[in-house]
Amino acid sequence: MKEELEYLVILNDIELLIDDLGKGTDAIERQLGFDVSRREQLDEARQRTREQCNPDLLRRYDRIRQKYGKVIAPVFDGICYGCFQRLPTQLAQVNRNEEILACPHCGRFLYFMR
Amino acid sequence: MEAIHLSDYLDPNSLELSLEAATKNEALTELVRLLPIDAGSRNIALQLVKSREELGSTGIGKGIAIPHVRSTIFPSIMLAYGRSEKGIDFGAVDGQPVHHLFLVASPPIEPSNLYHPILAQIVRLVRLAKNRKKLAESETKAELLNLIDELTAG
Repeated sequence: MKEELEYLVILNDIELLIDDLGKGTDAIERQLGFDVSRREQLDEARQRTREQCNPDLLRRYDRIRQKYGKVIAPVFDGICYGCFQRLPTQLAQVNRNEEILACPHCGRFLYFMR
Repeated sequence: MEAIHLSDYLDPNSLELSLEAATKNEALTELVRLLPIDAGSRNIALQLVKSREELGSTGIGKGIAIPHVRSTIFPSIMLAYGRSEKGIDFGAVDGQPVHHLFLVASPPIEPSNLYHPILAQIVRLVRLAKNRKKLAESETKAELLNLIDELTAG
């Protein structure tokens, strides 16, 4: 898999985790007995990941993130699960996750599932 | 809500009765390897599960850890279980080594909303000392799967 795609996925998932904590997930986790005390560590992990991302891709990432929140869209059976539209056949048949591809309908980065 | 059968999300390939790991990072690597995902996705899963641990240990005490992770790379909820006889320093809340590890992996959004109920189900399962003892005593993967099914049948 393309390393640049890995960083984008990791960044988005860390940011979604941070969003969830802000919406009260931390209270649920605490109730279940988990430690969620080191929030600043997660912010540092986010920053470290941002620094590993390609700057041009990061700019695109930030634009999509502002628009949708969820930047990476999984692809199942040729469908972008960000906007639920079918991808053009040519795009759906490329070398999966070896290139950075975006959905032509919504612009999200695509992550092809097995 | 109907009882959640953890065994629905486990199969013999997602169980390891004798983890080789000596450290927390090695244990997370071994657990992630049990998930039915491709190698590229495993790298991502491992980084993310480590990031979650930076927020605070998922070692909830009494020898139990339940690392968990949500990511786009998971098509559905997946579980893995690993057991370590010698115990692993996981930075658990009670400072004790961890012997039973459940890994819970989920997409960021899943329609059935089972991520937290599954975490809660595992916490309930391992809260009882008699259940932990049974988990420790299971000799085969089949036995362990049956046991988990029986203990979470509701």
